[in-house]
Order: sequence, then C-alpha cells, then structure tokens
Amino acid sequence: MVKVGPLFSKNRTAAAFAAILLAGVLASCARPAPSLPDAPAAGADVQRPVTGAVEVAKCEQLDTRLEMLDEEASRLEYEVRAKRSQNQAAGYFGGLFLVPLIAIDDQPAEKARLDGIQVERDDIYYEKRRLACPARPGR
Amino acid sequence: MRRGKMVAAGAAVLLLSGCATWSHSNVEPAAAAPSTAGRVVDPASIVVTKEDISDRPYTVLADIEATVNKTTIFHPDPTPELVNEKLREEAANLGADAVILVRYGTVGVSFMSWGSLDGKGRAVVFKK
Repeated sequence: MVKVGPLFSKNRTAAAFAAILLAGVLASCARPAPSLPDAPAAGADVQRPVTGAVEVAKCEQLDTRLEMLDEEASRLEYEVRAKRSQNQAAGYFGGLFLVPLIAIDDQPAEKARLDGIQVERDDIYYEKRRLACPARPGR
Repeated sequence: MRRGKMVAAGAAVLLLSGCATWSHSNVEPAAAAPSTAGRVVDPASIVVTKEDISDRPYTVLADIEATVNKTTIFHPDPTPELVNEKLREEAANLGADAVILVRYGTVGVSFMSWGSLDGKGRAVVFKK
C-alpha cells in the first residue's frame, strides 16, 4: 500500500501557492517609466530667440506632432487602464482556478508603443531646445 | 478564539485605514552639477512638466526616479499626481527649480506591490 495522502496534500499546497504567485506576476505587470534622454552638455544652452520664419514654422510643426503623440498616448493609456481591472480579476481568480489566467492581456504592444511615443517626444524636445522654440500654448 | 478574531479585525482595520501608498526613490546626480547646498526650496513652488523647458537656460542637477506603491490590494492604484509629489520632494531636497521631461510607467503588479507606478524626471536649476 502506498501512502500518498500527505505528500499529495503538500504538493497541492505548493502548487496553489505557485499559481497565486504566477497569477500575481501575470496580472498586468507594471511598466517602468521610459529612460530619460542624455543630459545636455554643460554650456549647450540655446539662448537666442526664434526669429526666422523657417524656424517659427518648424517649431509649429513640432508642436503639432507633439499634440498628435499626446492624443495617441492618452488613448493607449486609457486602454491599458481599462484592461487593468479585468486583468486583476483574472489574476486573482486565476490564482485559485488557473483557467481564468488565459483572460489576462498584458497588452505588450500598447506598452511598447507608449515607450516608442516617449522616444519620439524626447527627439522633438531636443529639436525644440536646439531651435529655442517657445513653450507650447497652455503648457 | 475571540481574542484572535479581535486581533485579526484590528489588523484589517489598520491595513485598510492606514497609509494608502508608500514610495521609494532614487537620485542620480549629474556630472559636474552645481552646488545648491543650503538652498531652501518649497516643494509646492517646483515646476513639474512632461516637456523640456526650451526657452529658458538651466543646469541639470540630477535624474530622479520615484515609485509609488499601493499598500494593500484593497487600496486604489497610485496616480501620476502622487508620483509628481514624490518628484517634487526629492527636487526640493536638491534645491531645484523644476523637474522636466517627466514620464510615467503603467500601473501594474511589481515584486513590491499589487499596484506600482514608476516616474522619472530631471531636476534642474534655472540660470540667473
């Protein structure tokens, strides 16, 4: 006669604990803030005012692009936020029953795009600084 | 048995009514940052912006990272405003005038909390 009772029970507890841990990790992981761009070199400040028509137009173009990126980022952030409750619920129940874990959507594509938007914003900020563009209206 | 229940209830009340969030931060001073020792700055006066300040010269003091975590699973998720508050605190300690290029991560589970929000920014002081 093989005694499997206590051993089975121990394994089951460990499996349940591991499942809860896994569910916690999978229930929509936090995305770290994107890295900051390199700091400007000392003495690299641009202090001349924007005067040329070409530069003014360029600054306006950069501001327009920033507005578009802001709108896209807001939409993606809203989508990620909206999914968080669903992911949390799926994670909690997944810890108990495992099956709901398939309902978790960590949205890697949306998060990667948010990181990409930040890189593009940083490039625009660099260009605006180089041209000494004025701040965006209302900012 | 009854005492055990009371202790459990007390612990639950403490968890639910205590601090909703806790935070930690990391400051990386810039190479050749000017000394701002002794400069007293009110955190509320510090400008926090997602953008660069392109029309006013400044000097970089440090890069700051702040993470706000919710205390228990039952507390609300941390917000960008709470991250800004932490960035302001750290910038004030550095004697900064502004925190620029602020960016946030996405709230989610971390090893430390059921809800973490990460933020980064660059503390700068304006040139006179």
